[in-house]
Amino acid sequence: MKKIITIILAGFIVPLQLYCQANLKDLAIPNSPAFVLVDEAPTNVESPLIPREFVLGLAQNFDIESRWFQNYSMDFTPYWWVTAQSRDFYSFAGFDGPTDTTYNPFSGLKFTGISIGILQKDLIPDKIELTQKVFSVGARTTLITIRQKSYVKEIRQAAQSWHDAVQEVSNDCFFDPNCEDKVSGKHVKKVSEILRQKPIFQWNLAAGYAVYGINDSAWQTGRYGAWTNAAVFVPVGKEERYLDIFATGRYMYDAYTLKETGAIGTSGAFDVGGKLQLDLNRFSLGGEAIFRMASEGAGTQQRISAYASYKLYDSLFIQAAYGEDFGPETNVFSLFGINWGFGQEKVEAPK
Amino acid sequence: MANTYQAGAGAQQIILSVDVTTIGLAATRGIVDSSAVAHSSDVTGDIFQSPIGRAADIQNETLIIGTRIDLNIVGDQEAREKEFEKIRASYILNNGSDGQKLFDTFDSIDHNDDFTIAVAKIQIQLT
Repeated sequence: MKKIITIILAGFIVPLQLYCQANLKDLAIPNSPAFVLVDEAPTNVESPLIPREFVLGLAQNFDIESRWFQNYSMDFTPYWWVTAQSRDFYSFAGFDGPTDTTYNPFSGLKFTGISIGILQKDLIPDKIELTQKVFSVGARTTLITIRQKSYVKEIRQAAQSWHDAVQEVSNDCFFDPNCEDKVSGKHVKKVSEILRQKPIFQWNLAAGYAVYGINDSAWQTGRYGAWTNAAVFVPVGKEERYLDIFATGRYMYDAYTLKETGAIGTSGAFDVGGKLQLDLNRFSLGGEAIFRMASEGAGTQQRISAYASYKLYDSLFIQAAYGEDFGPETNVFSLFGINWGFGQEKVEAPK
Repeated sequence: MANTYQAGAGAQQIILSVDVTTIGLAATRGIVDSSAVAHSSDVTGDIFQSPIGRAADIQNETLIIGTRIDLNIVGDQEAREKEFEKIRASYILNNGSDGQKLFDTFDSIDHNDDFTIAVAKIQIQLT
């Protein structure tokens, strides 16, 4: 049945990517703020496992002629560099140990990610095609996470069940990594499910800063930005049904913007938005509003829309949306079609 | 060089401690002559000062300590490979003729194809 629906609807595909333009996803907290800031796609990014790999990567990318690095981008989470003895499953899951009953709301801080971009790129929109030396750095973190009251108890029990099941297997199986034990496998699946559960509340922050080397001696601020979002997930009944409430904001500053007059000047824009979404397994229904305030006196623009989404498969959604888009004048849109999400989740604000 | 520990021939209990470092789910088991003599009590995989037998009884036996680690919770395979590289373990035997002796790493660590399961192992000859 799903296949028939898919084939029928394939004839009605509209460029839903248009719908996705300037929606809350654009305000998503980037995983690598340093790349977003300098318009670099986070592809071919190195993720060094150890500090030595980072230093080696820098050395390999250094261009003697220009005395600067050739587009070296890397992101890393220092937590993965550290082998502190305190690293264990319990700290990873956000509490102190097998007898602890309280989730640490700041446990997400340890997964703070750092991104660095060192490149040569023309980021000044003048008529001179000359690359600048660019150094960009950014960080992203989850400041506060509040989980369900039962989280610690449930995950502790599931983990202990895994442990006890593993201790029951024969020596031959225990010492063989290729031996699959179905009982412990069931428990680890439960642990994973609990880890993936949406928290009650989460607050994420990211920031980035980029400087340009205009010539060999002058380094000047090029761009900076800050992103934040907060989400509340209210369980609705049983299973994975939630009322999701999102609030998000972004500030971006560019010291080198091409003005309508043709001159180069500074610009800044502040976006703030919110979204309410009812998430019922495959079906979701919601509305969002985004307000944009630019530094150039363009006034406040807004986008207000309602949408519905149904997940046919993990990466295939039927979506419909209606609302008013950004623009100096009223700009109503209505869209209906299929979105090939390619692994993305339902339409939702960034986590 | 093979790991050895001089337990002696006394009647006292030999004590084993194991400290495992990983964010995966870990379970540790110590065996002598195919019989379990010690095991962890939670998913840290640690063993805290557990008696493994009278020195005279386990003298000239081989103590094998294995830690089975499930990395399924650690995201995708790339993340699991990173965590696999971070797995550490140290072992302390005490109360024998050698007194307290530290073995600061395992002999070997193996994994399955997709790095979801790893097993770290050390073999100690008790003399």
